[in-house]
Amino acid sequence: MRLNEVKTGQTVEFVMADASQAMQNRLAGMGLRAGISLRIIQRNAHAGMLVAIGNTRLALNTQLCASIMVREMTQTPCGLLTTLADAEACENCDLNHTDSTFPDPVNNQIRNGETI
Amino acid sequence: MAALSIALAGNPNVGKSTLFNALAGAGQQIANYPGVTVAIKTAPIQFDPAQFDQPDVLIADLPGIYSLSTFTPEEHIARDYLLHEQPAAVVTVLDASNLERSLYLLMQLLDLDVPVIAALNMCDVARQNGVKIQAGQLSARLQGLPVIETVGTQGMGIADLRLAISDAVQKGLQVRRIRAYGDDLEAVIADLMQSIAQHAPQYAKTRWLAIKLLEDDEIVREQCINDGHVALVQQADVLRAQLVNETGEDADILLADRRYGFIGQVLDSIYDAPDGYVETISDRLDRVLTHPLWGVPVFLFVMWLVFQFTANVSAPLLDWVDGIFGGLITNAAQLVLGGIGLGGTWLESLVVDGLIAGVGGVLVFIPVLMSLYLAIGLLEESGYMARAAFVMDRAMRAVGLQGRAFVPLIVGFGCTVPAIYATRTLDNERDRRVTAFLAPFMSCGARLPVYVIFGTAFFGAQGAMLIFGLYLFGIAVALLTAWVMKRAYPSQTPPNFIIELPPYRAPRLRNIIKPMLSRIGEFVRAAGTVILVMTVVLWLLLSIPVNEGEFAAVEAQDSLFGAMSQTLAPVMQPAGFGDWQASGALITGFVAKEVVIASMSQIYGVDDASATTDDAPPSLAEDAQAVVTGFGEALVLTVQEAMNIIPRTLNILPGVAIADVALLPAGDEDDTSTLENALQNHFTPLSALAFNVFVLLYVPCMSTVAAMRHEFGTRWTVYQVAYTLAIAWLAAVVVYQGGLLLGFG
Repeated sequence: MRLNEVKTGQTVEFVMADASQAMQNRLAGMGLRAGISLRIIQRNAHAGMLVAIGNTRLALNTQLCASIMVREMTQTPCGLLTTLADAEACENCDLNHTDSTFPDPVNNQIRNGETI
Repeated sequence: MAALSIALAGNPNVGKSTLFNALAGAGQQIANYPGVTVAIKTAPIQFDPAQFDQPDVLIADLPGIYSLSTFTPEEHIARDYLLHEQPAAVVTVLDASNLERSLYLLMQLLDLDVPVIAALNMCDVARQNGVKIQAGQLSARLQGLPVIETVGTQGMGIADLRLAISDAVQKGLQVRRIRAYGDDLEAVIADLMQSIAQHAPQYAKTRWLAIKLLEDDEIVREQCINDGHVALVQQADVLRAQLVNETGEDADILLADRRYGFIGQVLDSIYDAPDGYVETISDRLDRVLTHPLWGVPVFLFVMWLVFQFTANVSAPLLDWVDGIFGGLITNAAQLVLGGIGLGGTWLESLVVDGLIAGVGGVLVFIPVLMSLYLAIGLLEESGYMARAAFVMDRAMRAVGLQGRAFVPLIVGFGCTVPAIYATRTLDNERDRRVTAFLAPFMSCGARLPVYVIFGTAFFGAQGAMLIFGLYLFGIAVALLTAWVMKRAYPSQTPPNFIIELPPYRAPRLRNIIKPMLSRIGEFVRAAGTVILVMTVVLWLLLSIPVNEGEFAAVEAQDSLFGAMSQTLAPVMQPAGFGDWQASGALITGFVAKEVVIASMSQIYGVDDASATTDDAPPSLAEDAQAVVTGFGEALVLTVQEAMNIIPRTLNILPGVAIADVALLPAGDEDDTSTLENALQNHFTPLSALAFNVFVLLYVPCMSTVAAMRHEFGTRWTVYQVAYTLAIAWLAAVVVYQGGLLLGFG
């Protein structure tokens, strides 16, 4: 779904933005990476939205909100509400959260493949 | 040889400036870039002489950035600095509370193949907020890149950072080549790097260039094409297309994902920030300050305060500066020149009416600009400006501008000169130019006395309606101009808008006052010379006799100025005020609107000069004493004006009437009834209205012209002067002729 459809107080996972290359870079630089969780702290029909990423607060105008794709948080088998990217970090259950339980994994190749 | 430099880079609000101040010795310089608030501060680093004795290593504080793309002027300037100034090393400031994002910038700095030192800042705050971080591990995971823990606000870690910098300068610092993008992407990057090395060996930063070409960075792409390396661009296009085929992702998104993937690995098990939402005080404030309903009224209220501050609080000091030039300095000059036998000569006239008046004309703006930069600095530093930009974004977009454009326009109701400088808060050149173009239509305080005199002379009790109507008319012309501009000069503001809202905090005066002083110095140097020259030119016009009389002792109507006024008069005929006196007043109004009334008194011959000459002129000692007591009074009045913001603000509410604070008795108002009589003989109510419309719309003053030229160059200034003159003439003619047709003549 799109960010502008999300209600105040809800937390969602950032998927991608349908925006110019410059804006994509801008969003990435501001910490909006695939898999990060956003909480909507204010919806303003006139101006746009305020979202929280950890302790960062970002204000986005309505137009940008409409071009951002988000995903509702995933329920892990152990019952934890989490983003897809963070699911593997779940310490509460032994299930491999990055396997087929989660369709369409987002760029896991580095995470799973290489070591430092 | 140019001094070695160290660049300081980092996200906004990570404590970069504090680290800069801690590292920097005396001799800070601020390089302002034309058109933006962005500045690069440089200063020599203060090393411990026992350890390292090289006095000329400069540290450059780059503007806060999120990435090395060129989305904002900040990024553009920072990137240019890193590419062209070739710093010996880059110190990047990492925010311990926001490490992922900080490392994202660090990764891009590493792509530039520069030696990087990381300052892990604000660990104390992060740990207080529940962040777990093993700082020692971070360096190991970044190939031994120096990571120094700092708490800039407490001076912690500064000595270590200084040591790391001196080591880097003395021994050289290894460039860490971290291959973070995964085998497939690294292979593509290597391919491109090889081609660059082969075909364009003049490019130094091959890895960075290859990555930017893959990202399809607009500026790099253009640069390559301009340099004749179309083949490189084409190769990058092919590789990018292949990547889309293989991975289903655009290269720039892929690169960003891989960076974050690598950062995830680096931070794995050594960094944990709580990602739950904790409501902060700022969040609670924003419930009101950016509220869908209250956000705009709150913003308008803040603007009212800014306006009160720039327009009224600076006024007493302005009068004081004016008084020094008109009193002490003028009298002293006359005394000195009289003493060496030059009293009453043209030289005395040049010094007093040309040079001293000109310098005074420059310096009176200092109190206004000080209060403007203070007000804007407070808005920026407190964190409110980012909210204002967000809240006003949509409304201002409707006229093709961005949210922040509202600030200079409001300031324009006080004085147009600071309004033009206030456009520096805008983040793109087009919006700055357009906003500055509109600013003169916001009727400034100096035009008000003209409306008042005409209002009372011709409209009596309805005078207030005339004044109010003129203000509204100015706004309407600005909106109309913005509407035309939106089509003629399309907006560069991207339709998408995102801004980080920093937590609210108490403004630090140090961060406001230093740039304020530097910008005022710049105004005096750049705009000041123009104002001075124009004052002397006007003096010449008034001094050169055309018909009779001698140089510097000629009646206004017989001077070149009078001749010009007579030439101009027929042009004004269709607007209903075709006598040379009206035109002459308008010409002096170009110098400053403040002098329109005075010069009208003079030109219409109602200036009762004999009344003052009977008194003995004050002695220099009396003048000097007046300057001192005047300064004290001005300070008291400044405080009074600042305090009066409160009752005046409350008085906006219906049913509230609080008297202003009066610490000093009000001065006597000038008696202008004789001028009113003279005006009634020369104007009809309709031509008076047309004259006021002209005064409202034409070039506010030569100081505005000087400020425009300083900020935007000669061509844009000429456009503005021509436009304001044309629209003023047109509007005045329409008002007068329309009025005649409707039978108001």
